[in-house]
Amino acid sequence: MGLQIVTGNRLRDGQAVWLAGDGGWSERIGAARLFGDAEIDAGLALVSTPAVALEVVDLQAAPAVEVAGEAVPASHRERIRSLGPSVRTDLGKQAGLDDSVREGASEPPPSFPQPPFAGIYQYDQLDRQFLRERAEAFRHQVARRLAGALSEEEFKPLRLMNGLYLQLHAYMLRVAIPYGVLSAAQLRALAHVARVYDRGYGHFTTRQNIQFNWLRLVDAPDALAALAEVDIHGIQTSGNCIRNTTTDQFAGAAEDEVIDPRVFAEILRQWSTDHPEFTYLPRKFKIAITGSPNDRAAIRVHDIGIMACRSEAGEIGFQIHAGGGLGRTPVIGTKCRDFVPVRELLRYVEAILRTYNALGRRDNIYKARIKILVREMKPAAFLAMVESEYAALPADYCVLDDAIVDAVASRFASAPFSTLPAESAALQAALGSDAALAAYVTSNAHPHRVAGYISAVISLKPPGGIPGDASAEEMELCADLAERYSFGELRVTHEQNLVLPHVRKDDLPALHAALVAGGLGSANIGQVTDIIACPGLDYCALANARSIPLAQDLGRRFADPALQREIGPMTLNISGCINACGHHHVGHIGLLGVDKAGEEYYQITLGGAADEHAAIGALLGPAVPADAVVDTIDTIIATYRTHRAEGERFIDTYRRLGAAPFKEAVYAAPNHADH
Amino acid sequence: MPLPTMLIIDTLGVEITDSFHLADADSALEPGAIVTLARLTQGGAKGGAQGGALPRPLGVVLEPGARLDSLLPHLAALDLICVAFPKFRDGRGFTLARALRERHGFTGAIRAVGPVLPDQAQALVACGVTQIETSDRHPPGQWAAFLAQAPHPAPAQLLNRLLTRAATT
Repeated sequence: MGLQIVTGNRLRDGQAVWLAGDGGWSERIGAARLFGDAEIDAGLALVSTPAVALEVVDLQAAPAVEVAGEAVPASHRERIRSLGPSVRTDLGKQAGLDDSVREGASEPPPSFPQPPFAGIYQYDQLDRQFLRERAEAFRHQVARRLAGALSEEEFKPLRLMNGLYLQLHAYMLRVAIPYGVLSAAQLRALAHVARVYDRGYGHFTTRQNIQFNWLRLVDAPDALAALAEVDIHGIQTSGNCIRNTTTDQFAGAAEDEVIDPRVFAEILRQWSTDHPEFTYLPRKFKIAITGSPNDRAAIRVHDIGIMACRSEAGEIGFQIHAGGGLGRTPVIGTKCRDFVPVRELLRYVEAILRTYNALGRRDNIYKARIKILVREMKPAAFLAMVESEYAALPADYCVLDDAIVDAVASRFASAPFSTLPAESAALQAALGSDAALAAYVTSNAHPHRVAGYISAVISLKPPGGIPGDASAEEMELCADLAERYSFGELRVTHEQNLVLPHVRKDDLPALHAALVAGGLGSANIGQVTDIIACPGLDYCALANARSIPLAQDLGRRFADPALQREIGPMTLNISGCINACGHHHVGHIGLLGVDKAGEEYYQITLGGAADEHAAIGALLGPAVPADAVVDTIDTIIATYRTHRAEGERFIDTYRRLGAAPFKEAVYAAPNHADH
Repeated sequence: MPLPTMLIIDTLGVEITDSFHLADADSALEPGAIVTLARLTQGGAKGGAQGGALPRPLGVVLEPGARLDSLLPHLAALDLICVAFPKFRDGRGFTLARALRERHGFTGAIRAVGPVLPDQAQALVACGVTQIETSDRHPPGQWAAFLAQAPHPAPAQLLNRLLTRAATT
């Protein structure tokens, strides 16, 4: 006979708690009251009371066993909830930290003056007032929830609208980095939030956001108020609304751009913020924009993808795609229009949203994304509806005339670039004597539109590290380096790295030395250890498997820089569940965690791509157990190295040969196929 | 079956006298009747004192997902459209209200009915809703604070300040 326990998360701080024998709630799973399978419904009924609803949320039963009179978790998920992240044994219940103390939380936040030339959208007092009021509105909502004036069902969408989730161990605050652009001051404020309201670090995500994993509900309004002072927020980082628009991390700096997409991403941000019609959509809605024909924003796997282009007459406009997405039903988007002029951009996007809001499915959350609507209606019928809505918009509605675009563009300071020779003699000299620097420049630098400058990527994927995690100290180091070398500006990439966008080539040797000294010198961008990974079951309430330890093991296996260079350009993406936050479908190699009878297994897909040749990876074969994944990836890479033609990347070889040789190598090997 | 009486508020959060009632399916229509879309479009809305003319004022309930095509020929006969929100998270009503105002030029009253939240007040008004049916859980007093700034909140962000026409007027 099975045993079960009743668990939930404490409303005020999100801590995992268990119903104890005395009827109270314990932070220790051992004290949990054990119910027989036949009694568990009665146990849950016991706590379905208005009084408990003010104290504990997300009530559920979990399987357990009894050992020496104590409850012991019987599922992987519950074990992690009862201990803390397996990848951070210094945190959570396993570390015995006293959660009642958060030093500095009661003091006013320090002031972080904005650097004058950072390429963020410069707020004025009205913009700033909007964020302050929004933080205060959330404070009011939290107070109403704690007092019972809002039920949990009512409150949940409101907190999600401000970026606050409830995860396994606590609340998680997701803060938007608007289109990936960040000032040194903003990064310092994020470090401050990490230190004061969280546990000293943050996690950069695959959608140009940062997440803090240990927030308390009661502190969230203060954290948001502190961020509002540097013009950042958690608005629309969650919930069924238009999420923050993402773009190319080299926007405004890359040499291959038609337009600077930051301006239009900001316009889309302002248009979608608190949009009265589109805040309660059938499901979340993600827009990406690229200013370059070389798509670094994965626009074809977004609900709406926008690519800047020129008409035959030379007019600037946008090609529009809709209905792309990942998740459990990966779809490459449908092209809606080859050319929408700038002045019509918001109008056309609005027509797509209106069609989706009216007709998108609301009966099944797994079928509620726009990609399913497009598929079920058929693209032609969907496009006809969009065109009909578009044609019916009032002629003066939301017209994006030149004056508006210019006014928004003028809020982006242009950096005072120096006139420099295209090549740097100092850099060339240093490259000759410093192999590590040469490797860094080869893999981590991206061409800049201004002669003598370069964009330098800071890898957040050290060997054996947690992809995308940065400590408060690392954030502050990056802020220092941004101030010293990049006009106080940084970028956040959807590959979970940081960028100093405007570095003088002359300064690269000094920058590289500083990064190496700070443990941030990994020269692995675009290589096999530049692994994209979601937080997985160590943190996430939805996950089936732990993505992070797998990423760490893979990072260690391929850590040798020479080996990585020899393997060449490669994307390796890991998602801990079908929701695909690690974008595994579009990795050259994709790994998807699945739960098989309580054990972690991974499905392997090959051939995915997120760029202008976007493709959904194909499943290689049966899932392999977690402890065999690293060897299996080794086998796949060895197969590529055996078969590759001169100059071929992994993806090229795969496209030329198909899955057959990889399948044979992986499943013929006795160690992997038998599980 | 008559529903319990709900208090109706206007866009300033002030309680108003409800001059409408849900029509009984079997009875002739009196002025102030609210009918279903089916009854309106099947001609069954007739049956006032003169046996054929539609009574005025007249209202209709629009369920989410309703196709507006069948309603449009009757718009001129309507004084009130109740836009139903089955859940507060079901946002179809926002698009329905806006389409009625903006695309189809409806000038009568639009009433949000269902479990909407005071936190949604400004969005409802911005989409053209002029009346809100409140509930015991969120009585008129809770709505007043959210509607005090409506219906025309100061446009905060730059884009809204610049766009000559950003939302329904």
